[in-house]
Amino acid sequence: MKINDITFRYGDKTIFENYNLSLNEGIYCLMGPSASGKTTLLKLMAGLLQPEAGNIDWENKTAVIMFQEDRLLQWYDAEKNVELIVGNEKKAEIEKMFECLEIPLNGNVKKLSGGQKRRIALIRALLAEGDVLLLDEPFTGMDKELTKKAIELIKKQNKLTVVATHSFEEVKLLEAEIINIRKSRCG
Amino acid sequence: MKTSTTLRSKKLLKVVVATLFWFLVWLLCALAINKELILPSPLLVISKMFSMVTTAVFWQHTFVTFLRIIIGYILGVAIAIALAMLTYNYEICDAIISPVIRIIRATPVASFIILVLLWAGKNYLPSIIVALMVIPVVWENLVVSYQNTDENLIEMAEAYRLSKMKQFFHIRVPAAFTAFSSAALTAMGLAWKSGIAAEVLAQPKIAIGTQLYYSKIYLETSELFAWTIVVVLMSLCIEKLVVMLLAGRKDNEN
Repeated sequence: MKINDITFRYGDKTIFENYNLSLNEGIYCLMGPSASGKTTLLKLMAGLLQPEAGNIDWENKTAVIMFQEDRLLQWYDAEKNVELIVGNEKKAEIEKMFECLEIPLNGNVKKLSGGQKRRIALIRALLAEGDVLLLDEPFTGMDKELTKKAIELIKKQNKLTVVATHSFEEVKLLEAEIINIRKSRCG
Repeated sequence: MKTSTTLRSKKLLKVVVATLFWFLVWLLCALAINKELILPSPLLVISKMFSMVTTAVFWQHTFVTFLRIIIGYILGVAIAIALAMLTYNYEICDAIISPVIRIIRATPVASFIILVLLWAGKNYLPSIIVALMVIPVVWENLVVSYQNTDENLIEMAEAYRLSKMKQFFHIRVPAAFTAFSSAALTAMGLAWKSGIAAEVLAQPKIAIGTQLYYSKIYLETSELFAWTIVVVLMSLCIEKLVVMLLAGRKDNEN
């Protein structure tokens, strides 16, 4: 995947200017201080934002994004939230992942904890159709054990993965290559 | 379980106390005025009601009025949903529909009753008037809630390539449900008021509204009160039913 000379602004504020990045196989961690543009870069990669200049070349690959917010449908239970996106045919896989990450299948989304919601959003992204995983702070609200389990699941997907995070411990567990946004974003 | 039973008993007790209080106020006022024509006593009205409910004619009037109002209500809600969908999805429909709905909302119900009476005849009039009163309330609430759907959810759906159809049924419709519920209830109250008003003015052969009109003509104030109580009780029962139906749907979703 190649990001070629992209420029992106929110109003007057320049977030990226002539920014370049090249990703091959494996897991990458986007690191940088708050408001440095990690989420913006993930959204650009997902095609949800369009750069003012430059382009992102995915070579016919499709990307799936896990947002910084859970973005779950409050009117459906946990399982239905995932099923709606990934389809009925993956029911067995959904159940397996729910069990692994300790989430009740029929849990009322409104009553679940922040960490549980996060895990549902992660499962939704992991099982959705796509060649590339873009994960925005996926381990928020998870304890060490659950973070390890979630990381195992991410690794098992064997997909090009980009994770936005603040934690070096997560980078270590993911065995990821670091992309430091602050250092590299202006060319 | 025990707590919920206690709460229910408390609520019931409050309703009983409030009813008794107003019954007493009514009784005292009637005694003070002492003119049956101006304010009949509650006991007289109740006895009138009992004598009315034992006749077949009472049930005939009640059933036909009920049917007219329910048909108008369902028609109004269905049209409002269809118009709201068109308004939201097509800008041109918004430009065409919005001013008409605003005019309907601002027009006095009496003007509509007289106009529709000329166009449609007295038997269809109450249902049409009810539908006309229901449409703006439901339409406006739906359009506003469609517009206020959490954009984050729509972005999520786009990111996961969820079809427009699925977005509509799984995100837009459920998100609008709360607004729809409150609009449906408000519209139900309006439906009864406007439906009966239309019957009073149009006087179809079989109708509660016509009976109300006759009570006025023949100075039967106790009968007027009795019919009014019947309308209020029916309105409350239907409102309760709508609340139960909507709550049932909400429980299913949860």
